[in-house]
Amino acid sequence: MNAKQIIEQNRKLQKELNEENGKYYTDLVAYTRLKGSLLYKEQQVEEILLVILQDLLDAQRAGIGASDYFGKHPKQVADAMMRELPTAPFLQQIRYVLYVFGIYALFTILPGLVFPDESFDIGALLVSFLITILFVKMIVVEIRQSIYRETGRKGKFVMIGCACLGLASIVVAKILLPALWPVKLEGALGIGVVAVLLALATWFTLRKGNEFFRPFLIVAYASGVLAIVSRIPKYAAFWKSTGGLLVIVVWLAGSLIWFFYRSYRQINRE
Amino acid sequence: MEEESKRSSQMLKGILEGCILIIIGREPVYGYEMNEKLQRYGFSTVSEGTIYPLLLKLQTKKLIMGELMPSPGGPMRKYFKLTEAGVSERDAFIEQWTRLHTSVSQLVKGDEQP
Repeated sequence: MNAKQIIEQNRKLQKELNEENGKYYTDLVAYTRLKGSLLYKEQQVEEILLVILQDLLDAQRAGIGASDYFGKHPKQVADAMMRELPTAPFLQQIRYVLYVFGIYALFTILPGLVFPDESFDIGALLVSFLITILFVKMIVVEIRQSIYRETGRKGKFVMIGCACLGLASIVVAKILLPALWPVKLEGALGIGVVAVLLALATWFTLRKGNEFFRPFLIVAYASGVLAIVSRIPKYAAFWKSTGGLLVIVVWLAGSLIWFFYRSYRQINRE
Repeated sequence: MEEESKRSSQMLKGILEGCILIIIGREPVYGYEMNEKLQRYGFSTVSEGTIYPLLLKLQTKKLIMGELMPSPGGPMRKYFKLTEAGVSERDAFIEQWTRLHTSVSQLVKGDEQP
């Protein structure tokens, strides 16, 4: 079985746990997945979790509660288990960072490319990547610690605080830092880059499990289309005129309204 | 005091590893079964998830391996089996334990070393 199949079987079996055991196991799963996925192969972590779930179900059938079977200190046992696992390759360890940064980059680069005359700063992108690494790490550590801590509410504040601070740092860094590595993406090169980014954004959002990010595609496409047409020499003059700017503003504003509407509906649905 | 309990738990872990190898050597078992068998042999302190890190350790050291097999009346689950290295490790443990057991018994009884 691969990791996805194991997770699916786990999800089905979890329903058989009673409420108390279910709560115990869900916490253990959340802790182990968060901590484990940063350092270990998903497959290994999921195999362990399934073995434990099947054993907890056996214990439940024998009238033994999860905390009597697996102990009152599940965090320590989970840590002890993970210490025995060989660590995953480096690239897998930073995949959360790549994930968060990928989403951030895909959906912020495109709006920045609408005007072909403005240069695009690769340096600033790298700086925001470094800031993302730092804050994702902080948030993950915080989530990990908050699972087995009584004061859950404080943890939530710290987490949201971390995320806001991370975002603010990226914005401040962008404003304060001079252009570090500006490049001009004009003409065919610019169109090529935009097309690749749009393809990446589409591929990412249409993947199973990423439904949450679909509304972002509206903004990506709206700005992507503008970025492409503004690079076609035949119409270049129009986009610099007042009429052209007005079309850009109305087009982007419209896409933002649509984006907010779709996000609102999606959040309500979930 | 804490040091002492740490030492005794370290010692127990080593012995437990050997016992787990012996049990798995008799027939493939899954986690819950292993716990039950240990309890039945009187390892009453072995509860609260102790065996899971040990099973993983033995697996990482390639002394045991997991294999998916249908369980009685249930879905496929992971059974642990001894590897070749596990068989020699188990035999070495049995030999070491027998020697240690003899020495300690003699010491306790007050016999002289033959």
